[in-house]
Amino acid sequence: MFKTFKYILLFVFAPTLWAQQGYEYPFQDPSLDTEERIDNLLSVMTLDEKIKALSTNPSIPRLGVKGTGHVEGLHGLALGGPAGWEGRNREVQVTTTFPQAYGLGETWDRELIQKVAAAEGLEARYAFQKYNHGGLVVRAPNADLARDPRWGRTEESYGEDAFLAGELTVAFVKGLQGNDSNYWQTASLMKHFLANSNEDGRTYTSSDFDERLWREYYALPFKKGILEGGSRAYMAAYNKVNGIPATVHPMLKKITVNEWGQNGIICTDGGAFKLLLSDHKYYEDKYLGAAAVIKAGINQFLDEYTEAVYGAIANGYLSEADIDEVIRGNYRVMLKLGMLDPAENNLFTKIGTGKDTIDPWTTEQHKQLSLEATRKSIVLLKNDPKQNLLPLNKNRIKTLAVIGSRADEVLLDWYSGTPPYRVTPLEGIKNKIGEDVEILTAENNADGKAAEIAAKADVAIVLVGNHPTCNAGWADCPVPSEGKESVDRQSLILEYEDLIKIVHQANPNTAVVLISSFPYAINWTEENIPAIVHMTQNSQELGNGLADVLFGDYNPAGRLTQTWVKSITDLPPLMDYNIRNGRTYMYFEGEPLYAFGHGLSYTDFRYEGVEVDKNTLQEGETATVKVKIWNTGKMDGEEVVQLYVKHLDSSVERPIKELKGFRRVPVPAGKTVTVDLPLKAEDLTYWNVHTQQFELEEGKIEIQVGGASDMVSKTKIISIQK
Amino acid sequence: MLQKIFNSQKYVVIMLLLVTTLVSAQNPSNSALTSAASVAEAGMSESRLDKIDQMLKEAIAEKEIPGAVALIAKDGKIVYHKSFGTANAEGSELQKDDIFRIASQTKAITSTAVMMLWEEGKFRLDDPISKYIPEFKDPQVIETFNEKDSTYTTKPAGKEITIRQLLTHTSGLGYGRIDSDEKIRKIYAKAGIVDLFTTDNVSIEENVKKLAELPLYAMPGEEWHYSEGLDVLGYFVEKISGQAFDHFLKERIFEPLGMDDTQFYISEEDEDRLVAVQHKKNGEWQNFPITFYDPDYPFKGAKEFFSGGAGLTSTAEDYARFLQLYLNGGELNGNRILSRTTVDLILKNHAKELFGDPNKDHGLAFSVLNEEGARTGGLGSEGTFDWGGYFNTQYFADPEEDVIGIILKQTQGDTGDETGWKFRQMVMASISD
Repeated sequence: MFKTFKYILLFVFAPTLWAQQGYEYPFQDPSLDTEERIDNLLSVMTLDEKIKALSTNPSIPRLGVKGTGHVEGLHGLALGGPAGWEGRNREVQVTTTFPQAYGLGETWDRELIQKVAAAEGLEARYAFQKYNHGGLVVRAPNADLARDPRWGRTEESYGEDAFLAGELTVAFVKGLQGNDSNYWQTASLMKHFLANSNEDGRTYTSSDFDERLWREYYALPFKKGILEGGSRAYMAAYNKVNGIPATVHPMLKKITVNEWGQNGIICTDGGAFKLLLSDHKYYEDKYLGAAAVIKAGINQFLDEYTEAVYGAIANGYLSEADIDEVIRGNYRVMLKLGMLDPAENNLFTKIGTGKDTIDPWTTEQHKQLSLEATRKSIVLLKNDPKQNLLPLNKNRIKTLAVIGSRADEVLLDWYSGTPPYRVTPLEGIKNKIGEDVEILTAENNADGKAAEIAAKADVAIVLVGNHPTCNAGWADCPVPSEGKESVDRQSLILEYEDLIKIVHQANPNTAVVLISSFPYAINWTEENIPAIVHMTQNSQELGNGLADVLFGDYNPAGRLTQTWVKSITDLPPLMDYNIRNGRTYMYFEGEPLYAFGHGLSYTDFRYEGVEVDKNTLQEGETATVKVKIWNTGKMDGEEVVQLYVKHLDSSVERPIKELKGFRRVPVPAGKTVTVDLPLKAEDLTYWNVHTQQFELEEGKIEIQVGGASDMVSKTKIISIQK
Repeated sequence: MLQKIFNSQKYVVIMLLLVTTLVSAQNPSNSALTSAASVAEAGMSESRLDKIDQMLKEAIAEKEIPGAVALIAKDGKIVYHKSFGTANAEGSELQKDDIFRIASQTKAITSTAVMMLWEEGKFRLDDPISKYIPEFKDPQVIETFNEKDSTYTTKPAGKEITIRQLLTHTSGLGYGRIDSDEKIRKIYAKAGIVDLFTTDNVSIEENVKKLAELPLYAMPGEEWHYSEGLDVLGYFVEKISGQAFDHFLKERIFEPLGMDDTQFYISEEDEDRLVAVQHKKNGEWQNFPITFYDPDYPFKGAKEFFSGGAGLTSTAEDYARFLQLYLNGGELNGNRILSRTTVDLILKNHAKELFGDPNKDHGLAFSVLNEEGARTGGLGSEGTFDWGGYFNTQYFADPEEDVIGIILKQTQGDTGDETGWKFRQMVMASISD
C-alpha cells in the first residue's frame, strides 16, 4: 500500500520540490546530521521561541517548524474517554480500545503487546495526520513497578517484577515507534521516572531505598525501555526519590542522559512544577525552581512555567545556553518523528493522508487484535479438577444465571479513550450461546433475585470487581478497596464476596469472574468457588473474549503479574520502598493466595526436560536454556514458560528467586515443543556500590523452570565465571 | 467409565445390583478386551467363580485384607471383575475401577518399553549399559563394609553390566530401602538414592546417575538380587528414545492399548479413585502413615520421579489389557506393540539358574512357570508368567489357557493375607471348557 502511495505522492509533489531548489534553512535539510540541524535551528530561534519550546509542543510558526504534542494511550489511543482526552472544543474521536495495561501485562506476550502498541501508534498517526487531532508523542507505557497492590495506579502497570515489566515496556515502545530505521511512527514517552507507586501524598512523599534497588529494580524497566526499546522520552515522577523531588533529581542527567544515552524529551508530570513549590516546598521561589528543573534536564513542562523561566533568566539563575542544552532533546524527537523533514522521506506520513483512507478503528484487523489481546489477558485462577466447571458446555446448559453489577457493562479507566463499541459480558455470552439457552440476570440480590435465579439455573456466573474510576470525582474513592490515580486502596477485601456466597449457596455450580484493576484477597472465593477467572476492564471486546474463555473456544493462558496476598497484613507498610522487607514474590516468605506467574489452563502441561547449552557462563555471554514441554491433555493450549534464577553463592543479598526469562508458547494437544530461553550473563549481575558498576559474581546459580513462580518443575545448576 | 458418565458412585452401585450379568465398564469400541456375554460361554464355571466371592468376603471378614478388586479374563473376555470391601480406613466402598499403586508390576511395562526399542535395532541385550549411560563404566563391587560409618572398600568388577542383566536382576545392583542386604540398604541410604516412591523433585536421570557411582552387591551376571535394574532402564528408555519416560509409555503403550487409567501420577480429578494403603493396628484397619515415603505420593509433591521399577498406578482392567497384549502375541486393539517372536523371547529364561526358584524361570521382567512349576499345581500351565507389587497386588497370565487373573489390594505389613495364592488356584480351577 505504501509503495503505491509513494509513487503517486512523488508524482504530485515533484514539481514543488524542483521549484524549491534547496532549503531555506540548513535545519530543514535531511541530508545533514541531526546535531548540525539542531545547531542551526537554535541559532535562528529567538529566546521567546526557545522558552515556548519548553512546552509539550515545540512548534515554531515563524520558522515553519510544526511540532507535535502529547497524547495518552496506555491501552489504545485516547482521544475521548472519561477524562476528556479529545481536548477542549474537540469532538470525541473513537479509537480501538484494549484491556487495561494491567491486563496487557497478564498476557505475558511480548509479540502481542508490540502489535497492540503498533496499532495504537498507527491510530495516533492517522488521527494526527487525517483529522489534525492529538499528537505523536504518546505517554505510554507506564514503566513503574506495582510493588504493592494497594497502589492506586496498579492498573497502569505491568506488575511487580522488573524483568517482566521491562520486557513488556520494550515491546510496547517498539510497537509505538515502529521498525523504520530512520523515523518513528510515534514517540513513546514512558511514565513516571521513578519509584512512583503510592498515590496518597505523592506530591510530597519520598520513595526511599538503596542504590542497588534503584539500579536493579525501580530503574530497570526504564533502562530497558531506553536501551533495548529505543524510547527517547520519559516523564519524571511527582514524588521525591531519597529526599529529592524526581523532577529535579540528579539521576535524570547523571544516569539517564549520561549513562544510558537518553537524549530526547524529559517532561514533568502534570502540574509538577507548581507542586515542587507548593507541596514539596523545595525552593524558595518559582524562579529558583524553574532554573533547577531545566538544569536537571527537564525540557517540557506540563503546566504554566513561562513567567518563572523568564524570571530565572532575569535573576541570573538560568542562561539561554541552559535552555539550548535541554530543548535540543525536544527537536531530536521531532526529527525522529520526521516533523522537520519533507513528507516523502517518511513512510509514516502516508498514514491517513491518502484519498480513500479507512479509519483504522473501524477495521476488522483492529477489532480482532482487541479480541486477541482480551482473550490472552484472561487468567484462569482456579478450575477445580474434580468439578471441571469450566469450560462450560453450551449444549448441556439449559439455563444460565448471569449475576453481578459488572455483568452488563464495560467500564473505562482514566487514561482510556472512547471505544467504537463495547461488548459487555452478557452480550458476549449471548453472542456465544444463541437462543437455545435461557439467560436469567440479576445485578444484585435485591428482593433475593440473585439467589432465586441462581437456584433455577444449571450454572451461575457472578461478575464483580472494582470501578476503575471509582464512579466518583477526582481523588474520590468511596469504596475502601477501590483505588485509582491519586487514591491508594485502603482494603484488599472484595465487598462483593457476600454476593458470591449467596449465589454459591443457591447453586454450587458457580463461576466467578473478577474484573478488576488489581488483586483482591478473595480467600473465601478461592476456598469455595470451583472456577475463578481474572481479567481487567476496558476492552471493547471484553464480553467476546470472556465468552470465548468461559465456553472453551479459547484456552486461557494469562498469568498474574503480582503476588496476590491473603491479607493486607501480609504487606509491609505502603511507604516502605525497600522491597527486601518481604515484598513481591522475590522477598515474600509467606504463603500467597496466588503466586506471581500463576494461571491455569484447560489442558495440562508437563515439563519434560531442561537443558542448558553451557555449564559455565561468562561475562558477555548468553546461555540458551532449552525447555521441553508436553501438552498431556486433549485440548490445544498455551503455556507461559517461566525461568527463575536463584543465586547459590552470592556475597550480597539476592531475591529468593527472580524472573530472568519467559515465553508464551502454543502447544497442541498431545504434542511436545521445545522452547529456547536466552539467559544473559548481564541479567545475573548486581550493582556493586563500591565500584559503581554492574558486576557478575563467581559461583553457582540454580535455574528454575516452570509454569509459575511457585510451580518450578525443573532445575539446573550452572556456574558463573567472571 | 460409568462413574464418569453419572458422576456419582451411587449409580455404580445401583448398576451393579441391577445388572446380574457382569458388565465391563469400558467402552467396547476402544478395546479388544471385552466382557463375556456369559461366563459359561467363555469357558468358565459361574458357580466356581462364585466361590472366589466367598473366599474374598471371608478374607475381609477375617480382617486379612480390607478390600480387593479381582479380575479374571478368559480368551480375551472379562468373565469376572468385582470389588469387595473398603478403599480406605474411613470405610469408603471400594470400586472396581479404583486406582491402585501397582509398584513392581511396573517392571513388566518398563521391560516392554525396552523391548520395543530393541525391536527398532537400537541396542543388543548383551550390550554394556555403559555404552548408553557412561556413568556405569567400570563398576566396582563391595569388598569390605564398616558397619559403624557405612564406609566401604571396593574392588573392580572387571566386567560391565549388561541390559539383559538389568532386566533380570542379575546386574549386581541392589534395592536400597527394601534390600535384603543391610550393607546395600545403608550405602544406598547414605548416598541419597530414591527407591520406589518419592514426593521430592528428583528426576530419574539424577537418581540413576547417582546409583551408577555406588558399589555393586555382587559381580554382574553372577547372582540374582532384586534390584533397581528396571529403574535404570526407565532412564535408558529416555536416553534412547529422546522422550521423557512417562511420555514414552503414554504415547507408545498406554494410549494404543487404551490404558487410560495407568500413569505415574494421577490427576487431581482422579484423586478420589486412589485406594488408600492400609495396615492393621490393634486389629483395626488404619491408613498407613508416612514412613520413608508418603503413601499419597501418586498425587502429592513434585511428580517428577518416573520409577521404571515401581512408579505406576493403574486399575485391574488396564493391567488386564497389558497382559492380554502378551497373550495375544504382542497385539491388542489392532495395535501391534511387539512382535510375536519378541513376546516368545521375553518369556524365555534369561537368568540361567540364578533366579533360584525350581518352579520358575526368569523372563524379561516376568517370572515364568517352568515344567516343574506347572507340576506343583495351582499355578497354571507351563509358560504362565506373573509378578506382583509392594502394596500387595498380584497377577498371572496363562498363555496356554488364555487366562488372566489379577487381584489388587493395598496393604502394608503382615495381615495374614493368603488371597494371592488362593485366587490363582481357584481361577485355574474355574476353567470349564
